[in-house]
Formats: sequence, structure tokens, C-alpha cells
Amino acid sequence: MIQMHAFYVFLAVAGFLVLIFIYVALSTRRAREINYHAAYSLRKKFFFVLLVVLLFGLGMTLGKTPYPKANDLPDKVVFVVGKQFAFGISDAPITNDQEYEATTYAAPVQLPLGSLVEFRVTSFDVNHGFGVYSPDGRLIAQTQAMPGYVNRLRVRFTEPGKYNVLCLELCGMGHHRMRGVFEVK
Amino acid sequence: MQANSIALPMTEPRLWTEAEMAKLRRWTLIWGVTVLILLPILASLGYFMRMFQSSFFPTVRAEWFYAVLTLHSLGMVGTWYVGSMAGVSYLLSKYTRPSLAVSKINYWGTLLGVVLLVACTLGGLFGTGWYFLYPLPLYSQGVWAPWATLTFFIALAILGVCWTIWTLDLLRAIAKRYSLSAALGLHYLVGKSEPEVPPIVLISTVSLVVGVAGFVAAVIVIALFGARALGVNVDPLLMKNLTFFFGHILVNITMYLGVGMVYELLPTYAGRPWKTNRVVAIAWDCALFLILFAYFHHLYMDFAQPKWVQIFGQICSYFLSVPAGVVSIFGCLALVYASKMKWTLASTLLFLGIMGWGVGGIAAVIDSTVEVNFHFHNTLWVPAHFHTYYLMGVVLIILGFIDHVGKELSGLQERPAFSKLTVALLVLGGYGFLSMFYWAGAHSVPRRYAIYPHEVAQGTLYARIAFGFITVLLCGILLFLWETGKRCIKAFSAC
Amino acid sequence: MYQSLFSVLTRRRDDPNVGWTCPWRRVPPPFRLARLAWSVWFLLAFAGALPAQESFGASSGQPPNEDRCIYKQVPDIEIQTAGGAEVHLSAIWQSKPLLLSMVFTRCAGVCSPFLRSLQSAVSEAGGLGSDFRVLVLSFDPKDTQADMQMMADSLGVKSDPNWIFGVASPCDIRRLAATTGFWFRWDQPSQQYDHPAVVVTIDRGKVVRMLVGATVPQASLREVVQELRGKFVASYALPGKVAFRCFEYDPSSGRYSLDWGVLLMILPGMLAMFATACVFSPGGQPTPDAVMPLNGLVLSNSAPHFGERHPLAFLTAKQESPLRPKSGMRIDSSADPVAKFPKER
Repeated sequence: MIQMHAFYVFLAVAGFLVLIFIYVALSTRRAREINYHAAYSLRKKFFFVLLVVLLFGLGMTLGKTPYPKANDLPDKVVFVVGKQFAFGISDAPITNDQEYEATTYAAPVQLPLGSLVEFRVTSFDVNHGFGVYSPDGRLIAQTQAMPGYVNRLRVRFTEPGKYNVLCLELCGMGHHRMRGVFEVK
Repeated sequence: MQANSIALPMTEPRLWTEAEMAKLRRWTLIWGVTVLILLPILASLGYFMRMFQSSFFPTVRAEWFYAVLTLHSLGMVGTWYVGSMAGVSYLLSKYTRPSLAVSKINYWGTLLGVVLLVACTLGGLFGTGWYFLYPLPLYSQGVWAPWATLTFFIALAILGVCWTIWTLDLLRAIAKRYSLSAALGLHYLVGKSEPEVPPIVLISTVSLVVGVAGFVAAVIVIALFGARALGVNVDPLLMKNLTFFFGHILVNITMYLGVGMVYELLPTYAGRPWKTNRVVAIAWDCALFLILFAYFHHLYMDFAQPKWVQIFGQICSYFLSVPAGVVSIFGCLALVYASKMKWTLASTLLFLGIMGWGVGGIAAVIDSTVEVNFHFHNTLWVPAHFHTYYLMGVVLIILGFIDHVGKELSGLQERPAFSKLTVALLVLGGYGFLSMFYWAGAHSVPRRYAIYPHEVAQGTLYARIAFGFITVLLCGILLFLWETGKRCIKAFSAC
Repeated sequence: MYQSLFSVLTRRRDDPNVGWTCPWRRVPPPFRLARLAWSVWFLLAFAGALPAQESFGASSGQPPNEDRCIYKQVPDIEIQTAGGAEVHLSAIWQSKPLLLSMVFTRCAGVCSPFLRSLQSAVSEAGGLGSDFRVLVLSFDPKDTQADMQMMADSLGVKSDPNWIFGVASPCDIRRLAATTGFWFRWDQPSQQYDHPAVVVTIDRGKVVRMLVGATVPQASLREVVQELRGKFVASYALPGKVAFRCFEYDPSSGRYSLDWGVLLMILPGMLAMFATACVFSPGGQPTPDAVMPLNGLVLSNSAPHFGERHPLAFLTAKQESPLRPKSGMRIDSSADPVAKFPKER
């Protein structure tokens, strides 16, 4: 639920900022000279508080990047190819257009529950976005599908069900129709 | 300044003759009115998009959505960029002599570029989105013809050349009056306060130097597209880096030039000075460096980028909020706090524009965290934050500037009731519309979707609510156009 | 030859250290008829009437594909080492990752050069003993532990504890081959096994890398060792000629080198600095009037007019003329009308 946490943090901080702006605007009803020294010292305090908050944020989040960790050993590898306008998802490597076509209408790949899966994602034409949506419609993982490169995305699936893949990089007129699917059992 | 040094000696030359000044004013008004005409047209395109996403047009093909998306986004980016440039040009005329000829060339060049863009998007259904990510323009699947792609790149080239010349000209104008170290406020860093450099000169110098780098990147991108057309295989990752470097810089400097305009204009309403000092100079010099590297936050989901580059991008993006928050936003608040502030339509819009910049910045810093970006990248959170920066940020600032100039040059007073209503409609409609973007982004709704599939069906509901808010916003825009447009036209005839 | 082959067979059967797991090999000694039948079968096989050596795996002759085997769990088979020990494969990989290769001692083809190439690549790459060990197994049912010991000796690694040589039962070998895509095919005319040359990297019981080819490139092995040491690459480029990448991987040195792409990324910043430098110093100092401070009195385009004076008006020497609504022009009348700038061309 990281999205909702981020949203609430945004709401709180932005709301606070808006309140300050309203307060300052209302203060002009009673015009008076301001104490510049007090203002500068307040700014200094604000500067240090902001620095601390940013450093705290960096410290808390820089260690949790979604890039695969070297010590993890996945249980399974799944190969994904993005092409206008469907995702080909398969257990076996997809090396040409025929194999890609076959995977787009094959039965969904089955993944064991609790396993660490490595998705090897590439594209055969333009940039696509491999966006994994959980059964209840939340975006849980994503990576770019770029032609000429294979991105390795590792996800541990803790919820069983049907996972949909939506495209998250504008790729043409069928961008909103582009999808893939796999199952976790 | 001490009062006794203000009495100018009789031989002091003036920067502008009366005739030149009149021409400058007329051209500024022309730019202003053009922006005021483009705004409702481009906003209506956005209105159409949100309506499309609300499933109001089930029989219209999705290609139209993507073509309109491309025109709306590129049009808005371009419009507010030239709006910022025209505003800064006018305000810099107090200190330097930007070339009017270059401004005119840019006017016609921009119009030509816009016409070509309309042709290739509405005429040719070119639909790659505004950052035309390689190699999408070359993979139309038959939707847009090669002539549309070619026209698009010609339009970009024309706009790029014109805007680069304008950027260099403004730098030249600043250079005529200030040395480079003075323009960057370096002497303030060592404690000197002479020569006095107005903040707008400092901010413009920082923004324009960075702008040149952005335009060079765009030239390289277009050249590499050309190479690809000739059969050379180009690295998509390099193209992505260059494209986002250019795009990120262009929109950032539009925002910063707008902030520079506030530094210049708001003091006259607040009755207090806002001058460059050591802290201001440090802030903007740091920003110059940080903007160049913050663009890495657009490529977090490209695992092909080296990891250190991603970390560096997050650090730069985080720290970019320090000069903005501690110096500019705090400075604006301190300027206005308990001052004899004249709340007119213009000053209110300028003040609200800074607030919008702050709100958008908070959303941006949150999204520039890699871990968060993993869930927010290319969802509606992204348009949420940049629409906050633009619509409730730099757009309000530029509208405030146009109103200021219109009022000043026409002498027509504003009607307070209308002004209050305009501001209320703009704020209510604007933030309401944005709130739907934020909420949808937090609920994993992807961006740039013509219609929403069943996994993210909630997107349709949010689009319908946003439609309601945009209606309110458009009323505010129309009201503003009516009042301010009248003043500008009156001012034009008076010049 | 017949005698030695047969003796190998009988010796294997009688060897108490060898655990037979495959039923078809289990011939109860007291049944002479069975033994006779066995000899007849063997004669016929030698004569070529029946396939004498087993074959396993893909008959198409395709090399194993890393992509199809990656992260597969390697079966925990029993190994009989050249030194005489009997150990489970898991015991070997538990402490350190393994580089596994499958050969046979009577190979007149690729096996020896392949092992030598592996040996030199391993010593070049470093990490033997600390990051990984090497396991060489024979897939030939006729190879014994002694044969493997001789092979180790010929490579000069007989006393090296990090090079493990061994054999396993044909069933186990087949299970191992199935996981790794390894295959072997008896070629009757040459009396040799046809098989690919593969180094399989096993980490924590799973296949993590495979190097296929008779020569083990030093750069590839270095890559493998890096991965075993924990350096992980989140993305890799597909092969193909592409202009202007940022980094180019040089297989011979195993290093990334800067390519033209980096220059293109730096170019915008460099050109911006160059253009700024050009614009700001056209060969001299700024014109003397550049030091005019607070020039706001020349143009008063920023003054609001709400029936009040300009807030900064106290700074002016002279009063500014009030706004004339019709003309809209505000010019400081205190300036000398004679001293004008040249007209804009």
C-alpha cells in the first residue's frame, strides 16, 4: 500500500504548505514591519529541518530500490516480450516473432505461490512498460521493456490469483489495449 | 540604494528610446494575447482528453485521443515556454536590451511551428506523446503517415532553432550589462554586494544557460532520428537519456523563468524589496548544477541504467527542493507576510503560482524516490504533479504577468468582484481537477490511456469527476480572458 | 579391448563401493545363463548390431541453452570422487558454488583442450577455492574413479582440493544432464561420444550460468566469477551492432569502456558552457554603463497604479508623472532627452 502512504504524506505536507500560504495572505490584513533577523533565523531553522527530513528520506529509501539484489537466487525465470500491442509471457525464451505470437495466445504461465520470480523483459519494437497488477488491481511492480536490452525484474508473489500486465509506456494507438496475464497458484 | 545616488546625471544614457519602448510593449502584448488565445484552445484539447477517458465518445477512434494528447502536451509546453520567455524579456528590459527582432522572429517561428504541429497531429494523427520516445515515431502501425513524422520533426526543428536563438539573445543582452560572474552572482558568495544584480538577471542566466544544454540535446536527438532514418541503428537507451534530458530541462526552465518573474513583480505589490544576496546566489547556483542531473529520475524504471546513476538522480532531485523551498518559497512568504500587500488579480495569481509550485514540488520529490517511483511511474501521479507545476504554477504566474502588463499599459482598473470570482473558479476547478489525477495515480491508474480497461475501471469514474472540475476551471479561464483580454487589447491600441 | 571392457563391467558390479541404482544393471552373479546372455549381448553390441554405449539428450545436436535451464534445481546425486570418497552433490555446493563440466576420459576430441582452457581461465579469473570450486564428472559409464584420477593428474591438479573429479551412476548422470541440457551421443564409426562442451555454474543448488563452447573465454569466466561474488547486473544489452552506446563491453579484457554515447551525453553541457563563455566575453569588459545600479528609473514598467505612489518612489529624485490612461507610456522625465541610445536596427 505504498501508494496510499505516499499519497497521505503528500496530502499532509501539501496541506501544511497551503495553510501557511493562507496564513501569510491573511497576515497582510494587519500590515507591519517585520523583524528581518527573526525571519532569517526562521529560514535557517527551516533549512536544517528540511535537510534532516530529506536526509532521513534518503536514508530510509535508498536501500529499498526495486533493482534485483545480488544475493537473491530466484526460483523461476519468466521471459517477457513486449510488442505492439500485446505482451508475450513464457517459461521458455522468446527469440522470434513466431514464438512471440504463440505466447500471446498460449495458456497463462503458472507461477508457484511464494516463489521469487525473475522476469526477463525486452521489446521487439518500441519502448513498452511491463506493469504487473495484482488480482485486486494494484500496481505491484514494473520495469521498462526496451528494444535491445533485457531488464531483469524480480518479484516475490505472496498472493495467489490472476495477475494482469498493463503497458505503462505509450507505444501507439493500442497502448491502452495492450496486456498480458499470468497466474500464481 | 541610498537616495542621493539616484539622481541621474544629465548625460546618463537611457536603455530604450520611447519608440523602442512602445514597440517592446506592443510586442509583449501581442505575445500575451497570443498566449491567451492558445490557452483555451489547448485547454479544450485537454478537456476532450478527459472526456474521452470518461467514455463520453465511445465511437471515436483511440487514435484521436493520442493525436490530441500529443498536440495538447507539446502545445502547452511550447506556449508556456514562450510565455515565460516573453515575460522575462519584458522584465529584463529594465536592465538590459533584449533584441526585439529576435522576439519577432520567435513569434512567427513559434506560430509556424504550432501550425505544423496542428497539421501533423490533427491532420496526420501523429500520436507519440510530447516526448516522442525513440523509436515510436517510426512505428506508427499505419496510424500516421511518414509525412506526419517528417512534419513533426520539421516543426520541432523550427521551434528548437528559434528558441535557441532567443535563449542566446537574452544571454547576450545580459552579457552586455553584466559579466558572467556578476550574472551568476558569484561575487555575492564571497560577501560582496556590488554590482547589484537583480534576482531576475541571476535566475534568467541560470535558466538560460541550462536551456542551451537542453536545446543541444534536442538537436542531437533529432539528428540521431535522422541517422536512424538512414539506416544506422541507434541505442534506444542513449536516445531515452537525451530525450528526457531535453524535456526535463525545458519544463524546469519554464518554471524557473516564471519564478524569476515573481521575484521581479511581487515586490512592487508587496511594497518590500526582494534583492539578490548571498543566500539567493548560492541557491540558484546550486540549482544550476542540480537541474542537469535530476533528469535521471525519469529513467528509474530503466534497469539498464547503472545503479549509481539512479541513486545520484534521487539525491539531486531531493536536494533541488532546498533552493526552491528555503530561498524562493520562503522568500516569497517573507516578502508578503504582514506587508502592505496590494491584492489585485495579478498579485494574487503570482502568489498562488508560487504556492502551486510548492505543492507540485512536494509531489515531485515524493515521486523521485526510487522505491515510490516503482509504483507511481507512468501512472496518473506523473501528470498530477506536472499539471500542478504548470496549471497551478507557471500558468498562474504568466497569467498574472499578462494581467499586470495589461493593467499597467491600459490603465483600466479591474473589477474586484470579477477578480475574486476568477481566482475562485481557477483555484477550485484547478485543484479539483488535479486532485482526481493524484487520487487516480495513488490507485494505480496508468497515464496516457485513451480508455480504461476493467483492471483500472475506477479511472473512468475519476475522469468524469475531473470533467466536472475542468468545466469550473474553464469558466474561470474564460472569465479571465474576457477581463484581461479587454485590457490587453486596450493597452495595445494605447501603445 | 573386449577383455578390458568386460572386466570393467564385472569390476563395477563387484565393487562394494559402487551403489547400483539402476535395475537393468543388476545381474545376480549366480545366474550363469544371465551372464552368458550378457556376454553375447556385449559381443553383438561390439560388432555393431546393437548400440553399445548409451546416448542421452537432444539428438539434434544443439548446444545447451542457458535460458532454458536457468534457476533449475540441480538433482542431488551421489558422486564417487577420484580420491575414493562418496559424497552427495549438495555437500559440495553447500559450501561454495560449483563450476561443473561433464567429459569422458577416452575423449580424443574436445575434452582435454576444453579442460585445459577451463583451467587457464580459472587461474586467470581467480577466486578458485575462495569463491567457487570445479567439479569434473564423467558421463561415460565405463570411466572409473581411477580414470578420473589419471585425468586430474594429467591436468596437474591431482592434489588440488578445489578441483574435484568423479563419476556417478549412469542414471544420475542422465538426471544431471537433463537439468542442464547436456547431451551425449555415441558415434559408432569414430568410437567416440559426441557431446557439447559446457561449464555449468551451480549456486545454492541452482543453475545460475552456463558457458557453452570448447574454449572457455577468460572474459566470460570472469563475468561468472563476478556474479558468484555477488556483483549483479540488473539488465544486459542484446548483441547487435548499435551506434553510440554509452558503454561498450570488451570481451577480451572483461571491462566496460566508454563509447561515443557518453560524449553525446556530455556534449549538451559542454556546448552550453562554451556558448555561455562566448556570449559573455566578446573579447572585452562589459560596457562602462553596465555598472548602473537600480536602473528602474529609466523605465517604470513595473509600477502598479492604484491611485498610489510607487512604493519605491521615495528613492526617486523627482516625482514620477502620474499615469495617463490614454497614452499608457511611462517615461522618466528626469532623464536627458538628448542622450539617447542609437535606434534599434
